[in-house]
Amino acid sequence: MATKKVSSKKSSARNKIVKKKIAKRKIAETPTRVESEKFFSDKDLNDKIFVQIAAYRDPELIPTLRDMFSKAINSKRLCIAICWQHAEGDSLEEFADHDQIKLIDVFYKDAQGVCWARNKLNELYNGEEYMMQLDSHHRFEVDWDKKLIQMMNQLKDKGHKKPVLSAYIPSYEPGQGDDEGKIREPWKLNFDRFLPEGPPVFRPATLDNWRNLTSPVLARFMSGHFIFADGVFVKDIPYDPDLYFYGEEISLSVRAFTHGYDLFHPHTCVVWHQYTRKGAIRQ
Amino acid sequence: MKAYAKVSEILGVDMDNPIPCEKYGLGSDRSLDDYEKYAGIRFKDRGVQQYTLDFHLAPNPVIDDEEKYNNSFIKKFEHCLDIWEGEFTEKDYDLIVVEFLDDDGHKIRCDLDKEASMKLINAGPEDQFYRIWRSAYIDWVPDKFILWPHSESKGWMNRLELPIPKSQKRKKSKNPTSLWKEFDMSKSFSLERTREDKHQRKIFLHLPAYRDPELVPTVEDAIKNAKNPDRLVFGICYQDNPEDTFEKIDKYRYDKRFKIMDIHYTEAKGLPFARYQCNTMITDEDYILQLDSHHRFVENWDEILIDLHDGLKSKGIEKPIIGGYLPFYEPHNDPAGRVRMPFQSIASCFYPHGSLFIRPSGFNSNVDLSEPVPARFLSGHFAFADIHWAKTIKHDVDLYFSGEEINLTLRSWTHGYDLFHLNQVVIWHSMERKERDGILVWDDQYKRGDYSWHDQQNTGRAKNRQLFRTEDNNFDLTGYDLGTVRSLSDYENYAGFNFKEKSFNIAARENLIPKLDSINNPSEKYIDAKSSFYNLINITKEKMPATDYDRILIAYDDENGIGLHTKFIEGLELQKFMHQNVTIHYEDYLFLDKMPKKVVYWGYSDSRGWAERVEEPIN
Repeated sequence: MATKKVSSKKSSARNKIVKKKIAKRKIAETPTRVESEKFFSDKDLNDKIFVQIAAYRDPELIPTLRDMFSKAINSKRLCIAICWQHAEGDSLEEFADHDQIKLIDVFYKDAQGVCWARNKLNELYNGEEYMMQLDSHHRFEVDWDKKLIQMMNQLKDKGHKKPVLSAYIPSYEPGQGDDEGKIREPWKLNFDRFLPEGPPVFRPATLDNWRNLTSPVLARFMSGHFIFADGVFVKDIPYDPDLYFYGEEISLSVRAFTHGYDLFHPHTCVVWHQYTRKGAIRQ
Repeated sequence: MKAYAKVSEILGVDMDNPIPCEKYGLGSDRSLDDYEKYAGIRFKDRGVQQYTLDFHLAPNPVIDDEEKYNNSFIKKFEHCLDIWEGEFTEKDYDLIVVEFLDDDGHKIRCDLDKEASMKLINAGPEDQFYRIWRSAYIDWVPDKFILWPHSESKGWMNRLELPIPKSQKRKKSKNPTSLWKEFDMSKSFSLERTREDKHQRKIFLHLPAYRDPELVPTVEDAIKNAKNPDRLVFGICYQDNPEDTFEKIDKYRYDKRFKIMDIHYTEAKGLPFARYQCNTMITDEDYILQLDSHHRFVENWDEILIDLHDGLKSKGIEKPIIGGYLPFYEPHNDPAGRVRMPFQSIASCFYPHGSLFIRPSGFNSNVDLSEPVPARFLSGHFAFADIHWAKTIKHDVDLYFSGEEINLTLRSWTHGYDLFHLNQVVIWHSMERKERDGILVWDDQYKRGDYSWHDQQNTGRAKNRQLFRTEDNNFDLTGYDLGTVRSLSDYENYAGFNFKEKSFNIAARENLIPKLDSINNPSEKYIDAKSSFYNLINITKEKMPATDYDRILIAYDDENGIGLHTKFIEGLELQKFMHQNVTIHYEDYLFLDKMPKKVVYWGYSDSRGWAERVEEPIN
């Protein structure tokens, strides 16, 4: 029970921070930037992406999947694994029996936490060139797959052998207008404080000078809800099923770093995340 | 509670009952200390560097001085404000300003926002006092604080300024902020790392596998015999037919040492294609061991190869590659069938299509085998080098199978790599013809009616001739051309060949060990150079119809009919030809001063004397 208490405290703290940001900031225009075709070849168009989605009774799962498929430059390359923690009567609609989706079907009362779900998802990895870890409430930029792979290639070209992209990605809010309240500024993670129990927590902030950035920036911390890396990351840093939200992200950051991964925040908005889950059922 | 213990374990925070995290633990490429220096956060005492608190991006500046480094971590200042209940007269505070100050003019705000203010008032006082915990990462010690509540309806209320009792102050430490400014901010934590510890350096095993029952035994043997199996990374281009019944690689799929690229066998496009795919999986490995997928290993093979390679480097060879043909083993007669001597690669002739016929051979008895031996050629199935080689010399997917080795050899050498053969047996290789008869890639393509391999072979050969600078076939060699560190002519001097003349010097003919300083002796390739001559002999019944020959003469003549080389077919081979209809079919390769213009087949029988005679011109 102790772990549950901590996890809810942490998540509400995080939601609070983000809510404030949403209230403060107006939607900024995305600057027009010439998309460089550099760092992208024919091979990159067909490389597979292993997408891991931990979904807990989330009405946003279906819209997330629809947006992911429709915005990808090559949706055929997606190999999606969903830990579907659902109630009786919940439906995956057109994604039931989808040949690109592997399901871990869990009755919601049997769910054992997000780290457990992510550990189960790790086991469905099958040698795909890239991995992307998500929650189940996201939106995507057009050609998001190409943009993320370009960032990876760009970093590798700079000599980073094992880059990993991660951040508290900018927020969207379903129902808030046509643009669903998408924040159009990329975020970084700042140190916030140490929890009384030990591990530090972070808070998102707008990336300094982001309009002039041309490549991802080095990061101290990773988030659990957005990771993009070479596929082998799944095998290098498998999720520990014993963790339960508490310490998930700092241990992820430290483990990836000591395995030789260089941590980065994306310098443009490619994927969005819903931080406030009104009406959603929390575990 | 297990989660707490595990996170504490990872973060190096003291715990009474540490839990081993195993595969969920730290990596070995960098240490926790490296992370703390990079991020400017220290877990064990909850310290944070000012650079991190100022929200600068990572990495943090390096502080070489240990004492200064230790002092650079700022601890949290925490203080409990005890406020008499009479100070809070209202219910609708939307802000309570809290500010800490010292006598030197430092100050920091730690306000309570509306939510926190309401929570405080709603919770009510404890023994007539409100206890307000405030904290901040500051490196100075506050002397007093200001408390100034704001009511939504009444505006600013009573402002309090109270001293912080001396007894509650923590000890003043050296001022890390001022220290901070002394550091060279341009020198930040470097992500570039070389693995100092030889035993930790990683080897990328490059394994193109096409429906190979020997792959799993090969992998098992490599792991079993390595001194440090944890440093191995298996990069497998897995061209599989799911219907094959031998053991598959699947049990290793969740082993993090394995990088497997699955390609259905019908999608396979030849060996250089598979090799190219393997090398796309390289990340941060230190060495490459390029292999096929059917091998056996001696004990501590990993350490032996690294020692040999690094030994050459310490002798001034900047970019050594240890390669060549490996001695054989027999999968179904192992270990008895293992050949226990090292091989060299020798060239026997130039083929008509312009490439060299390269094959394995033992070393001459006078060769010094105390260290790796300079070599003329690389082979495809074994090369050990710095990982840089695999990134620089990419496999040309236009080649199919033949021509791969001379292509790699020339490109590597002209990029400045020096080639060596093993001086001892470290790895075995199997020809494996029997085990995989009929399921090799060209067999499968042929069965499917796909004859593209033949065209691809011709394309590859034409591309190689352009690489040899003997023809210009309009290929774009960008990225796959010779290097610029040394020239093709330098290679010809070194190895003793001339691609244009198709000739060998005496050292190349007699397989003498090439000299590494050959660039200083540029005329070596012309020393007693002889032309390489190749001919495919094919004698059929139509050409020699009788059944009473005692021998058949094969003679190469010049334009004047003067014999340059002769040979007799007799004995069992002749009997089979005459009575069992076995065609005489073999490759002749010779070194001659002059090129023959015709080949003569001339039957001889003891009863009839010189009999049937056939002449064929040679182009």
